[in-house]
Amino acid sequence: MSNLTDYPESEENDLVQAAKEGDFAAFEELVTRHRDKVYARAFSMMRNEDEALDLSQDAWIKGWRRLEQFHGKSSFATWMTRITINLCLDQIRKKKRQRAESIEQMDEESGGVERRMPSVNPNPTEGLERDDLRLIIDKALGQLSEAHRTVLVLHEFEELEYKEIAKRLDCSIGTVMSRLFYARRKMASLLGNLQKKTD
Amino acid sequence: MNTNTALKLQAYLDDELSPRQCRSVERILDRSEEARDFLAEMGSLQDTLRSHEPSPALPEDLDFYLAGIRRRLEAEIPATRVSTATVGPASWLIRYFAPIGAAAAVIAMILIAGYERTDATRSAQTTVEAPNVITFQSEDEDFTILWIDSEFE
Repeated sequence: MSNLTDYPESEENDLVQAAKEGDFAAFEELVTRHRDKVYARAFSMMRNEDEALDLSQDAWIKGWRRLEQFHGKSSFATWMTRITINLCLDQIRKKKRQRAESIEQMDEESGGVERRMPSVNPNPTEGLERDDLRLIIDKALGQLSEAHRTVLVLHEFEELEYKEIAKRLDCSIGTVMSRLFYARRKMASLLGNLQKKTD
Repeated sequence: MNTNTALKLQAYLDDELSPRQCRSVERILDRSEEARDFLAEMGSLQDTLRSHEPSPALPEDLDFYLAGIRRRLEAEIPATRVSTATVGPASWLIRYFAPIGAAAAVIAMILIAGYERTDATRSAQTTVEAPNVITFQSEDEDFTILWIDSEFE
């Protein structure tokens, strides 16, 4: 059992160690510190508050059970968001199966990459306040297709390499590249449009 | 710009190319303004996204959220109460021995109840309501025998 008494003041590594030794209060302190990040990642993937809440709680439960597997190669928060991402991807797959929706039906396959995309402002978010920009990005993410959003989140926020994304999504690297390309172009276009609306 | 070039530029931005492929893309950039604009636009978007990641706060009270996690853990391991007490090192003991202990307790209760019931039946059998009357009551068979000794004095 750990000797921690003042959990809010404790170092993260000490909390992780204490939690590994079975101190649930230490684990709850970790939940307290990283709850928003874990929830935000689940929300960015699912775009549904209830699902994101459920999945983020599932992620913490999984994290608690698998604490022994955390060796500190990444930060605890990163480790937790990876667990969250995996749970979200499982959930997305499950939903896809239920909808009998093929990944191949995504709209990027309906036109070649070379097709002229809508012209976008090179810097569509120029002049916006930081919080406004966050809101606009969040809104734009919500308008992307699930396949585009997933790749974009995994690449831009989780900073996963193409190979890693392809592995997690069980698709080819070419598909990842294509989806990422379209996701970026759509995102740039959406950001431009949303900025115009806020002006 | 064709498909291949656009995807190469993107891969260049994402640092996914080999040194040889990088040199090839740099040659394209040297001679194409369109390619340079495209790369600048992609780079700008990437910077914007990475530095302004949306971070919606948990839309639930922290205590409620934590209680939900605790409740789910307890539901998975009913014999254990998740608390600030040690769960980790002894958890495997609890996990495997708690069900065995619970089963043993149930068996013990059944045996005790059975014993008490047998005892109750016996006492019913010997219940004497009057000096010359003996009753036998069987709960199992749901009948009662009343035996009156007419020669009793």
